[in-house]
Amino acid sequence: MDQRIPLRNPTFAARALTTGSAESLLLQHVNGILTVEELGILTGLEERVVSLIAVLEEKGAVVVSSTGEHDLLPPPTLPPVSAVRNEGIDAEKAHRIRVIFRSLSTLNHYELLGVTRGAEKAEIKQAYYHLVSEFHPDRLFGKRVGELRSQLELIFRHVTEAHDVLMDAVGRAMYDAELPPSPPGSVTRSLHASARSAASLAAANGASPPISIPPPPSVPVSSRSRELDDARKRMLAAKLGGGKFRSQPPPAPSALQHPNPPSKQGSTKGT
Amino acid sequence: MERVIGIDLGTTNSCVAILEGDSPVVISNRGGYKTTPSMVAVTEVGKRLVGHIAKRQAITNAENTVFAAKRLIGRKWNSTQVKNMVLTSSYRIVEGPHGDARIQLRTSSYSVPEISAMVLQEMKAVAEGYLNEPVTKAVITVPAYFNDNQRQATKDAGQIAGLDVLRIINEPTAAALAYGFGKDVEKTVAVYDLGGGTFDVSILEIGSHGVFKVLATAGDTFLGGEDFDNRILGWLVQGFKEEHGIDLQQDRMALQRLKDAAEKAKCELSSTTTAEINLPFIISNKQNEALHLQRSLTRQTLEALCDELIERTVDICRQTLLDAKLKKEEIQDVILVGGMTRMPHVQRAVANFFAKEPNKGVHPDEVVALGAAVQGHGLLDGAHDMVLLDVTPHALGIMTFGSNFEPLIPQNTSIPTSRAKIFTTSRDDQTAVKILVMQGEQIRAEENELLGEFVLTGLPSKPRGQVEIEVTFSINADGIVSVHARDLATGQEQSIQVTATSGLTQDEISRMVESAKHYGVEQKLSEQAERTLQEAQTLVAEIQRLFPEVEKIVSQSDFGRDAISKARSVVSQAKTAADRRDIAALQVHLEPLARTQRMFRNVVAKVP
Repeated sequence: MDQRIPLRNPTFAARALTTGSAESLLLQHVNGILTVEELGILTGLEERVVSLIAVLEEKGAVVVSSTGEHDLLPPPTLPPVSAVRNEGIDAEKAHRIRVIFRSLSTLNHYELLGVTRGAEKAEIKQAYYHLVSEFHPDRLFGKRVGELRSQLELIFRHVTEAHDVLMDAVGRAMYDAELPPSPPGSVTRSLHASARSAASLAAANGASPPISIPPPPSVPVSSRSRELDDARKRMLAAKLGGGKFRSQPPPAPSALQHPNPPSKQGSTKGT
Repeated sequence: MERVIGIDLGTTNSCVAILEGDSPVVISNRGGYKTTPSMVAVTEVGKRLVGHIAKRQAITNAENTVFAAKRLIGRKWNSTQVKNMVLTSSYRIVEGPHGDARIQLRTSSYSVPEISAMVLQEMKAVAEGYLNEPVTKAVITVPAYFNDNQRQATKDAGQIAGLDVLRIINEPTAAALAYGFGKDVEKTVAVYDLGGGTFDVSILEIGSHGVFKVLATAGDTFLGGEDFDNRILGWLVQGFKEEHGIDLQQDRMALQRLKDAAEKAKCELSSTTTAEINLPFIISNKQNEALHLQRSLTRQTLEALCDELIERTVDICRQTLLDAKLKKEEIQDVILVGGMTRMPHVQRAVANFFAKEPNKGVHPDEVVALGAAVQGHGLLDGAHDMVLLDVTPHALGIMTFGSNFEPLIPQNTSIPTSRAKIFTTSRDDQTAVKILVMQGEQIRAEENELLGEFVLTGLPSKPRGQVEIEVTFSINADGIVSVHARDLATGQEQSIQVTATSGLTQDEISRMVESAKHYGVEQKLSEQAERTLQEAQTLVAEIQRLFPEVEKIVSQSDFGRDAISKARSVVSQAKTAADRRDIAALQVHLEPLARTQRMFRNVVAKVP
């Protein structure tokens, strides 16, 4: 979807905005970091966000770069968000939260948990525990972290939903049926899979096609991904790049739109 | 960093703990006891007494001594539980100004959170005495099966007591936390918690990375030691009546003495096989002669009296195991919590059910407070690798057209969580919808606990079903609910933090439920269903339009009259199904409707 990043126009007084609550809600979340697509997820406005951003732009409340190229530069008029907002949380952690948050809508349940399609339940559970120990909202309890809190909550919800669906036999079967088949020879791409876990997954897969880490796609890597370790960087680039070229299948249904129907039905059937 | 205390606010006893270094410890009160009775009294001169001192004077001041206030918290005056307590309690429970239950002590009436706040204040003082510094932050525990109203009311009590309640956590979860904290165990455990007033069972998985995940929980908020005492009390009262023809229950002081004696006998029978109950001068008869009560109670009799109560806990365990999708053999350890688990019969029943000896390593009276302290520290410190994944014990949803309960968040969902669903209007030009928020497992909306209501106004005037309202439910980590509704077209929003509705009378609730029936939101139908509905309604409308004319034409013949009455019944059935939004039934009616419509058209067309 829309990977452009709107910026707030610092000279524009928000009070001068005589619009509906949806616009003001949206404007509140524009911070020079989130893309239009992410704003849609965060505010629950979904696709409507595109037209609303256009309205805000027309009114001069926001500036939107056409391609997301200012991705590469620090936002010109605002201090870095981490400097003002993130009290009591280290920059690396804040960064990880943002990166994962941004890719939520493009990752399927397996990718989010960092497991293969054939993963055993025990493996899924371990991956889930590992993630929640890092991304449970309580990890930021009582800290003033602004936007990061809602991002973390959304990550937690997605991760929990992924776990709940995949741990339920019926839910998983239904989910798998809707999932486009994974491209042959590809590895599970995940933001969390380290070389070690990729290797162990490969071993667990047994006779599956030989695992090779794909070369990094030739797309510009955003400045934000530079600090990431190599494996993560490649995967992130693939994600973001995919978005830019619109070559990817449409993202999996987001939890916001569809409150977990497969797992709900699955769990009743399972009993 | 400021210290956080963990408080187990129990039905009969409360306990406070704190983390010292790396391990939690229970703080003894001034009398040297590790638990404090959850009792509050007001003396003749208006002095407030809390804890042991309140308990000691309970017999002579029965009317003004409150025990088991936890059984009343967050409940409505009209609930059966409150009604039962009004009958059996030695203190006076009165109706509050907003349909809540209040407690009358001498000249004032107190809300239940106020009474609980007095106990909490005492626990706070105990901790402050030990630490020699003021304490403001606390984690308070509640039974896992408490609903939102009860949780809110407990949080309110904490605030009244001057505490910043960081978190409300579930008692069995706290117990598991204390059990697993600092040990590197990966286990599936069951926590059987039978306390003074409530019963809970939770099944948890203690996993890697310090994750404590609750798989399922259930319970009964009106089943505990008090009920065992009441069984013994009933047995004593019955025996006395048979012997002397006098009902001891009419005398508040006698009742309090019986209660005390019953509790003592019950505790004694955990280690002995016979207990003597000896209450001299319990009451005087009409001839003004003093009567004494003297009986002996055997363990066997006690077990017979209470067998049904224990059976109930076992049934709940069975259900919880099913909900967790586990077999008995997969439970690796059973943790016993609460004073009642000292009873040999209870231990036997649990061992039998889970087919293994319960763990003896935790202290049943202290483990919950210890866990609360661990959680408090974990939240503020953040250094410990520890995450609690609890679940919501009840399904959460709203009432939709036809008084149906539409759950949005199912039972045993991991919290914090939120779910959204799109609803629509049930009438043409409906510009407001009322959202009734409910918690429970029943299909009929009225049978669930009503948490609150709110109205979303200013909707555009459109035909039925064309306005889209998105309702989002959130449950935070305290298990407390908030709801948010949004008109998708205008962005108009309305949200509430659902607050305790113990302020509502039953009448008000019935009225709310009644008015919402005409005024409610309705499930958004699928497009297919919407088409069926429209088709049926178009057919019905045309048949009804032709009705007078057709009736006039064909009513001369027997055959015609028969056809008319058949048509009438087809239409009325279809209308009922449409009103109920019963699409499956409507589908069946489509064919007869179409036939009737064709027949009517033919009749009208043939007659000039």
